[in-house]
Amino acid sequence: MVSTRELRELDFFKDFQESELAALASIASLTRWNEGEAIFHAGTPATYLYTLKSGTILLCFPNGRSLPLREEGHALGWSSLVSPFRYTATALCLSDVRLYRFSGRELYRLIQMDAAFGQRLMHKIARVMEQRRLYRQGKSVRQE
Amino acid sequence: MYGLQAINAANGWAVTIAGISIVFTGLLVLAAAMANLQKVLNLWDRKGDLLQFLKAKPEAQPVQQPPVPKEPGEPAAAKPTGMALTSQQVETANAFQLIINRLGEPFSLFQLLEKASLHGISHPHHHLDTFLKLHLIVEAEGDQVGLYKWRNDVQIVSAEGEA
Repeated sequence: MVSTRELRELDFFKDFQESELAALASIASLTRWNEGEAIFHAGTPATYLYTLKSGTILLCFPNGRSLPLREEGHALGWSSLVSPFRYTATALCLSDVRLYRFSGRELYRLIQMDAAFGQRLMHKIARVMEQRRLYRQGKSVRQE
Repeated sequence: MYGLQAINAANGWAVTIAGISIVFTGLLVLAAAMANLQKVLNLWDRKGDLLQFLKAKPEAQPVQQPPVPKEPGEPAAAKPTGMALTSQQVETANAFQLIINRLGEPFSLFQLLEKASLHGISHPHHHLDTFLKLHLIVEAEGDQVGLYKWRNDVQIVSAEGEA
């Protein structure tokens, strides 16, 4: 069980209201991953949104570019909320990792119930998408 | 003539010993070759470096000059930055550099991890994380964002005292 306090400490959720955090905490679960494990693969159906609690994750895009994430609160798996609902990158654990996991379906249910929450969440997601646009859309690197 | 007499008469014991020796010698050679296969493959991986080393002309040794005392305000010459790593990290860094030489710079971290796993480097993910944190591997800029470079200006030294 994840507490509201834990989520409030994450940068990604700092603008959310207490009731919204409580709703998010009710659908969140803390997951643990080992070094070298893949959390998800590019092109597979996106079912979960994750926020980083600890550890380092490498987002590897199909064009060969990659982005390490190691700051607490970084979000990954935004594709679970954006059509066509397929992950755009492969997420590899560079160390032992702890992540908060949110089901995309449950998040949609919360969005349908509270438009203001939906707007706040999608605003955050849009920012993450924009930050990673260059990585996602950059020219492919040569393969050996 | 039958049995042991026949064996003795036809040099059977000598033939048996010779046969056993040949088979065991063959097995020994095979075992030695398999045990050293990794070293041979490492050499094969580094063939470019070795060829470059062999082709390089020996440079003239500079004549030792007595040290000239510096002027009080003279700036010191720029030295490469040194970084102390554990012997395992040094070993992995060397292996990573060989892979990067093959991939060319800037390189993809995913390809580096793939090749490192293929070459049997232990804990490549952990070491990549360490090298990124130490800024031994840095991100390229401009339209090459998301690709990475190895910091060649950093001299790696072993914390145990080996270079």
